[in-house]
Amino acid sequence: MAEATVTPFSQEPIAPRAQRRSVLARSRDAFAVILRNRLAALGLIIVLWISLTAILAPQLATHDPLKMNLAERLVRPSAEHWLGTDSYGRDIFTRLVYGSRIAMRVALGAVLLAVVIGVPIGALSGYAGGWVDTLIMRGIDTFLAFPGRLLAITLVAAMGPTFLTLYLAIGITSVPGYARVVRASVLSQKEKEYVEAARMTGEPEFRILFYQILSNCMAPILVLVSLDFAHAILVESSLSFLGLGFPPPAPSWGLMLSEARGYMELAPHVAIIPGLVISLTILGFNLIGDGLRDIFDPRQYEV
Amino acid sequence: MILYVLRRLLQLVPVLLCASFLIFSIIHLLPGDPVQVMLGEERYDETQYQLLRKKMGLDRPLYAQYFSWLQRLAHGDLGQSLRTQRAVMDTVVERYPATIYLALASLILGTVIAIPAGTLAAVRQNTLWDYSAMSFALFGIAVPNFWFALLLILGFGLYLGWFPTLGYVDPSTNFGMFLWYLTLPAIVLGTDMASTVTRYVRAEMLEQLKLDYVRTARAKGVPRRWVVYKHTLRNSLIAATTVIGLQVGRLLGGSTVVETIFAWPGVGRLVLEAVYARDYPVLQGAVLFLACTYVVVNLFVDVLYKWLDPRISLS
Repeated sequence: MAEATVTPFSQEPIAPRAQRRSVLARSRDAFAVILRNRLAALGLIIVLWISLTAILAPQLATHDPLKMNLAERLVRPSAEHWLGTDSYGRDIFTRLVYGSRIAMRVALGAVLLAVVIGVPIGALSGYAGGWVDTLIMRGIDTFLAFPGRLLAITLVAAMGPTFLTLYLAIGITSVPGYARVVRASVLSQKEKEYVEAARMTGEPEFRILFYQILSNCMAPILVLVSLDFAHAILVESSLSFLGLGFPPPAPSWGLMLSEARGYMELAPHVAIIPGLVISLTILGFNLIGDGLRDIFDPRQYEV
Repeated sequence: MILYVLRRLLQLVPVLLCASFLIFSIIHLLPGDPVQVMLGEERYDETQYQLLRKKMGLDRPLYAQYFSWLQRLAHGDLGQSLRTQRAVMDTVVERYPATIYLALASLILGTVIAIPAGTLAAVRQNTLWDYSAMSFALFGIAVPNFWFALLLILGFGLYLGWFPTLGYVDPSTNFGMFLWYLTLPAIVLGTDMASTVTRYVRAEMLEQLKLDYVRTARAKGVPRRWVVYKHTLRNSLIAATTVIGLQVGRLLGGSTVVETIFAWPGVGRLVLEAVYARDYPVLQGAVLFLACTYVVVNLFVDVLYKWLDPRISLS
């Protein structure tokens, strides 16, 4: 990883414009790369933090996430309630901690589903070529003709909110993305010599495609996975904000914001804090995705 | 060119058929009995129930229902609302302008922000300009629409009182008021769009600035500024049209959330109203309308793209 990021700089003197550039400009470039990777590191820290929170939720929680206490409604952040309480007097910190379980589980399921369906479709499309490719790509184009968010809303509305339906509704909209990316990588890989070599050793086509070629297509898949996590978190919170996710009193982040709508002026923290957590999580996954893309594709620094 | 447009129009037919089938089948999975919705919660006798069921054609097999739905669709008949008994077509057409105004305003706002921001970020790569533009883009990507909307309502609506937080005024009634009500929702959707497009314009500009024609022009002595604005920017914008077109899908999808929050009477909000009321003819009609809009916009963008850049092959 470190090597890949250094490469563009070792090549820099060859580029005609680089010779004229001052030491200052070049160190600024180096700074940009480090900063980008630092951002990726920051993203990783955020994501690990949220994941740990989700795993250790019962240990971290300071209160019962569902227990109402009407005597302590809309309390501002204090020593007793670190992030205050909501309109039912429930502890916001505890609800956020438990909410991370819902968000991460839905995102994980949706991404897994999209990968499991999208990657083989794309691999097959790219490797087989011909009418198989045409058929699959036309199908994907048709599917893309449908706004993704609308599809998720309709699906969840039709099937009702369970973990499985949320995986499906959110995951299915990401399938075309994986199929396209994997198809493109497979197309560029399948003409390479190692594929020819494997074929000559008599390895079955299935193994060549799914073991050898696909293992060389991991970079773009990884980038997509981390961006897709962000997307899944966003869609899950939107759905629950709209009242289409888990029903109350589930401590879903989107639902917490939706419940805060009526009390915003009275107690802004109720509307601000859950939104910050959602944004932070989405940011974390995006930073990792961007960082991975920069690392795998250092081309963009050769200006 | 005309042939190309015709061929693309022809390709729309299977796409729209598939979309209509998808919508139809998903919506028929909806739990809850539409007949019961129509009869209301109170008690009703069995014969009345069966009669209505028959009248609505719900006793027939699904494929037959689909084909008769398609047939009526071809005549512009989307059925009747289960709740209000109004023709779905009328309701959707009535709601449609509000959605289009909001989408157009967001599109314009997003483009006006994204193109200068992306260009500046690329031309002044790794400067404060670049970092600011990229931070803005990251903000737009990480912050969910609905939360941004709540923050704007809280800040500009409730605390400062500069903008109304809910509602809609028809532009033909009072255009100034219309713009006033439009501002906050358009900022939310416009920012969402601008963040993606800014990143794209920047990446595309950086890509273009590396190409030989830039070097040639610079070697000829053309000032850098001139090269950037006359050549690079134009080429980048051609590529950006596609991304902007794809963003329209996001705008239409995002409009459900934003229209609901701001009580904006568009088709997106209609979708949710229909979901909550289990009014499936309305849901079908509204979703179909949004999907059609998206498909037509993308067709338009493809044609525009082809017209802007004649090198693109006709296939």
